[in-house]
Parts: sequence; structure tokens; C-alpha cells
Amino acid sequence: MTDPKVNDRFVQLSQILTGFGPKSIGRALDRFNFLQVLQERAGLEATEALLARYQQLKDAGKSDREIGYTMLHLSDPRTALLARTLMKLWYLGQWFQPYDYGPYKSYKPGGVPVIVDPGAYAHSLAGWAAQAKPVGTFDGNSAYPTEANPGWAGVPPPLSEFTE
Amino acid sequence: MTATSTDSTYDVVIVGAGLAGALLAEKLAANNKRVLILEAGPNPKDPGSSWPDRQDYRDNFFKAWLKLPESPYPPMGPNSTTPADPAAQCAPRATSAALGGWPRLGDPMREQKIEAVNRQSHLVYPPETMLPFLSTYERAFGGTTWHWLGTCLRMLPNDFKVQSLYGRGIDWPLDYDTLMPYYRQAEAALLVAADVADQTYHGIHFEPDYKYPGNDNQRIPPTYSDQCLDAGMQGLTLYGQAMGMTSTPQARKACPGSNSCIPICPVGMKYDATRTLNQLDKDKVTIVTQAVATRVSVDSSGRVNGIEFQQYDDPGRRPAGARKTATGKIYVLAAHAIETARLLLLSSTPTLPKGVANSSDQVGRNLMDHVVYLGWGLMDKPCYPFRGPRSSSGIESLRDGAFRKDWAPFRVDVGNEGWGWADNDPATIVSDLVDGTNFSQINPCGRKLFGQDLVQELNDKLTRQVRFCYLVEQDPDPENRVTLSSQYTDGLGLARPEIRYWLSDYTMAGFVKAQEVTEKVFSKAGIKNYTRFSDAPGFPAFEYRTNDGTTYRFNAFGAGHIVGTYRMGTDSKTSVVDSYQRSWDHPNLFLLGSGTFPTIATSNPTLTIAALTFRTAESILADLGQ
Repeated sequence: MTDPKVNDRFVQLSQILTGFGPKSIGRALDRFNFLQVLQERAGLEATEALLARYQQLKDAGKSDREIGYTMLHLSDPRTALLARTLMKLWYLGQWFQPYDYGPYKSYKPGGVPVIVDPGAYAHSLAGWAAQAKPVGTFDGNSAYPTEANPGWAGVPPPLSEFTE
Repeated sequence: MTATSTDSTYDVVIVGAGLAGALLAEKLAANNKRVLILEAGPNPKDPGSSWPDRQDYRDNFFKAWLKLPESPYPPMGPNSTTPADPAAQCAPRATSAALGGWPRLGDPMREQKIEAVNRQSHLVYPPETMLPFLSTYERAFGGTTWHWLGTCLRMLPNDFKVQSLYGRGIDWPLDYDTLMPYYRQAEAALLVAADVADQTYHGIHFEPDYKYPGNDNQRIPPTYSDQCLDAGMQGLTLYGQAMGMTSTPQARKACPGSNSCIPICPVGMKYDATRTLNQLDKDKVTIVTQAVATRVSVDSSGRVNGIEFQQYDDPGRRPAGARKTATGKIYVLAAHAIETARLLLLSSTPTLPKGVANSSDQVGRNLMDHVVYLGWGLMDKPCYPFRGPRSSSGIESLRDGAFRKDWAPFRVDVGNEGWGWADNDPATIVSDLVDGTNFSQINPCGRKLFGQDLVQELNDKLTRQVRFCYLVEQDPDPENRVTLSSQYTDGLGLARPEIRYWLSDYTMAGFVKAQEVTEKVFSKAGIKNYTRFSDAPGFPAFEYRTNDGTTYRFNAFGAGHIVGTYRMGTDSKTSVVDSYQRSWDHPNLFLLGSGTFPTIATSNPTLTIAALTFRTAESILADLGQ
């Protein structure tokens, strides 16, 4: 079981990096453990270092925007790479191995990223950013147009409803 | 694998449990005939089967980085333990992934790279090949309907007589009016949803008071994106045709709009042939899966007297058991255009040196596809793709017209999946904006975004994506053909299909027009064109030089419409079957599927396959004394 503090930091950092709010990040995390992918494939130590860096910046009173910018542009290359890898995991469900770790070999340009589990894709964020959902998923809510609801024949709900 | 007795003589033996085989079996069973179906692929519902089912297929799709048509289905799925090498598979099939190493134009190592492709591709190519065959198919219970789009268009009346009207291709041995009652049967069997009023273009006509049977006689509603595009191109006329969006007849129920019809409907609302197969009367129809037909036997009188087949348990291991023979009064091959032709060629004997049903030497020839030009762009306002079926409307305007004497016509399948097919989105665009790259061409400044900036930018781009797929007609060429490889075999030791394939100037000229139409429609509809040519491995391409010296380079894709390889006609010297799809050479042999099409015409082939199957069923039942 993950330390709740670790989980909280992971959620908060994920919000900052992805731009999605607590409700949508929490909902996705309830359905698929994105943190576990990070811990297994980047290593516990690297994950803790990433989250510790976030906490350090937060304790220093940095704003979310300053934290995100610092982690992605002003940190050591490994931290920045891991943060970007995490962003793509959230948005696409795809894992671009940032460096060699255990049995996992680092992703090389032109290579193939890994989708470690169907859930990683099914609960990824890119479809929501499009005011839709990941292609091929069905959450029980039909978008078939009816008299009561225009569904796919009309404009979808505002972006804020997908990202809050 | 279904345990069955194949010792009895059946009324009809069918090879292939795809659409044609399923519909024929249903019709025959309804008329009290005993039917045996031999299917090379697996059935997840077989008792005791550990084969993946629809949800497993869906999960394979979710886990695939490249969402190719074959990505959900073993043995290419990531869960499969079957080797990817077709030489080790009992029932390999063509895949897009196998072309990942296809050489670029002008690659000096071209021959070596094609050799490398051949080692991993079921379809193999001579070293001088410039363009591979681009479409794929499944060998499975339900066939390629697992990953078809669901589009059910009728051919146009003029499609049947392109030689007479335009001096191109060859005329069909039947016409639209002859096929019309069978289109009706096909639409009933597939529960096609459409509105007749939308479909009466280019001479298409219906019986009085006809209503499409599916979805309570309602068309599947166009998406918001369709409506935006239609509004955007109003008033535009090209080549004498008014441009506009037309709702597409579809074989689906009121679906939730998961947007992944190709490669899989996760909820089973799109028709696939398993729906028919699973409803067959088991007292009358026996289905043997994981049974590869290996030879068609013919007696001295010229009648088929058996189909030899090999059963297997493990698709990646050569079986030890002996081959068996299925016998019947009538034999039907319905294994799709490449595998049916292959089986006929594999069945050669000293008295039939060119194979079964091949006195015309046309078996395997005239291989055609709808060769696809993709155009994609960003609309000037949100149109909200990624919702609804993968396609719900198209542009039918340029399927016919006087121009057909000069350049290949096309229909435009308009996608609802953004740049998914065109550019592997949203993956490409997300990676660009996170990493600062510009593969998609929407990030020329190399921005690296995060947080709200990233969400807003992704939203701005993803909600405006438009994709057009031009299904360009390919004309028949006897040198485009399927033969048997002398070098490569599959896991059963059967020669793999060798393909020779190229495009005519007629089709290439159609590509030039597709590019022009894209520019003009996009300009009218406020769409910025992002279509780009990729000269890279795995992106098959061709060059075309016009008479005025202009050189074009295009990427080409396949539509999954494989036709022509045992075509119908009026003359046994130039065709393989008559208009009832009966072999000219063997009176008790029928060949179904799009391999019988003399031309590919301008519609997706599935509905016509079904209609022709119902017409053939009448002939078979007459033979059986019905």
C-alpha cells in the first residue's frame, strides 16, 4: 500500500503537470494506478526523488506554475525527463521508458512505447482533453443522439467538465 | 476447436466463416439443408476454448501502440504467445505491421529490405516490387467483419458498366436492377440503417415505399463534425458535381459511439458475422474451426468431390494429426479474395496444372483494392471529433461523372476519429507538445507545454481535427495478381501468397484529383491543410509523373477492400465464375466474396458481397432440388 503522503504528492504533481483538476485525476487514479507504473518502471527511489522535489518547491512557496516550470525546465535532466514521461503516461497511457532500469530498456526515438495495461489507456486523459473520451472505451453513458440529449450530433459539455 | 463429425456427406461444404459463408449457411439451413463450414481461425465461444474473446480483443486494442486494424486479434496481439513469424503459424494472414520495414522511395537497399519484409509477412513480394498490397484481412470465426467499418453502400448503376460508358475496366455480367432485390435481402440481414431519401443519388433507386430495416427505419445520426463539414462546403461544385456530406448507410444499432469500429466494436453494436453464425441452427449447420482447407479435389468428370483440411490446436505449432476430407454435393469457397485464390492455386494437379477452376488463367489475377489517399487538416472552429461511429457520413459526389473516362473516381469516407488514422493521434500531438517536437506540424516553434497551457492547446487542436479518406478506384490489371511463393511457406507447409501489384495511370490520376479536391474543399470549409507526404520506412509510397512533367509523390494506404481475384463474367475464357458465382469449370463449385468482382467500383464491397451471396443461394438451392 502506498504511503498516503506519497499518493497525495503524486496527485498534486500530476495536476500541475497535466492541467487536470483533482476530480478528474482522482477519478482516473481510482480506476488505474498510474503511480504504480512510475514506481515499477522508473524505480521507487526515482519516484520518491521526483515527488520530494515537488514537495521542496511547494514548501518554498512556489506557485503551481512555478513548480511545473522548475521541474520541467530548471531541474536536472533526469527529473525533467521523468516528469515528461509521467505526463505522457497520463495523457496517453503510454510509457516511454526514460532510462534503463532493471529489465526495462530505455526508449529510443523511433522505438515503440509500452502500454503496460489496458487500464492505462482506458483512463488516460487525451480523449477528455478533446471533450470526448479515449477511443474504444465505453463508460456506460451512450452518446447516441436522442430527443433529450443531442449526444454526438451536438456540442459536447464544456472542457471544464472533463478537466475539473 | 469445435468437436465435430466430418464423416457425413453434407449438402453443402463451405470454406470460410466470414460474412458470405455465414449468410449462405443461414439461408441453406432455413431451407433444411445440411451444411458444414470449415474455418481456419478460432472461435472464442467453442466449449473449453481458452481463445481470447471480445473483451480480450478490446484490451489488446487498448494495449496496442499503433491502433492497426489487426491490433486486437491474435496472433499479433500483445497477449498472444503465437510467434509473429508466418512460417510458424498455421493460419497466418496479411497484416499492416508486417509492412513496417517497407523501404522508402529510392532506398538503395530496397531489395534487401523487401527480403526482410518477406520473412515476417504472410504476403510476399518479388524484390523489384515498388508498392506492396496495402490491405489486410482476418482468418477468424466471423472473418474480416470483426474490423470492418459497418458501411453498407450499394454500388451505383453506372458502376456495373464502366467499360460501356467510360471505356475503362470491364462491365459486370449483371446490372443494378438485377441485384436490387438482393440488396434488399442483404440490408435486412445486416439490419442496415439509413434514410432512402439520402441515398437516391447518382441513379441509385429503390422499390416503391422501401425503408431501410435497421435502427427502427432511422438513419444513424450524423455527427456534429459531419454537420460542420457539410455547412462548410455548401455551394462548392467540382467537376460538375455539387459537394456535400451524405449520411452513410450503416450496419449498426443505436450505438454509444465508441469511435473504434475499426478495429473493434467494444459493445457488439456493429454487425459482424458472428451474429449470424451464433444464431445458426446447430442441427443443420456444423462449424469446424481451426481447420485450414488445404486442397480442393476434383474427379474425372470435373466435379469437386472433396475439400481436404488440416485441424490444429496450437496456432503456432504444426499439428501432428492427419488431414481429413469433407464431402458434400455442393462446395463453396468463401475465404476472401486472397485465400480463396490461393486455395484454388494450391489445388493444382497434373490434369489441372493451373489449379482448380482456372482454365481461364484468371484465378489470382486482377487483384484490386480501393487505394486510399488521406487528407487531414484543422478546421477554423471546433467540430468535436472522437465521438460517434468512426465514420457516419461521406462525400459521394465524385463517385460518378463524365470524368471517369479520364481519372479514377472515389468516394470520400469522412472520419470521426480526428487524425487517428492519418497521424496516430492523439499520441503524436501530445508527444509534440510535451517534448517540444513537431512531427504533427502543429508545433513549429517547439513549444514544451504543461498544465493549463497544455490542456488548452490540446483542446484547441484535437477538437478541430478533420480527416478525409479517398477510396480511389483501381482498375483491373491481370498482372496485379496472387500466385504461390516458391520460397516461403506457412506453418502447415503451404506455399504463401506471392503478390505482384502496381497502380495504373488511371488510379494515380485519381490520386492527383483527390489531392486537388482536398485543397479545394478544405479551402471552402475553412480547414487548414496539414496533409503531408512521408518518405520513411513503413510508409509505402509511389511517384507519378503527369504528361506535363509534374511529379507527384503520394503515400498510399489500403481500404481493406480486396477484390477481383476470381472474377465473374459472361465468357469462361476471361472469367472464373458466372454471374451466380458458379465456377465455369466445375458445376458444383461456387466462389463467394469480393474476389468475384470484375471491378471494384466506388462503394465499400460488403453489401454487394452479401447481395451476391443471396443470389447464389437461390442457384444452389435450385441445384439441390429446392
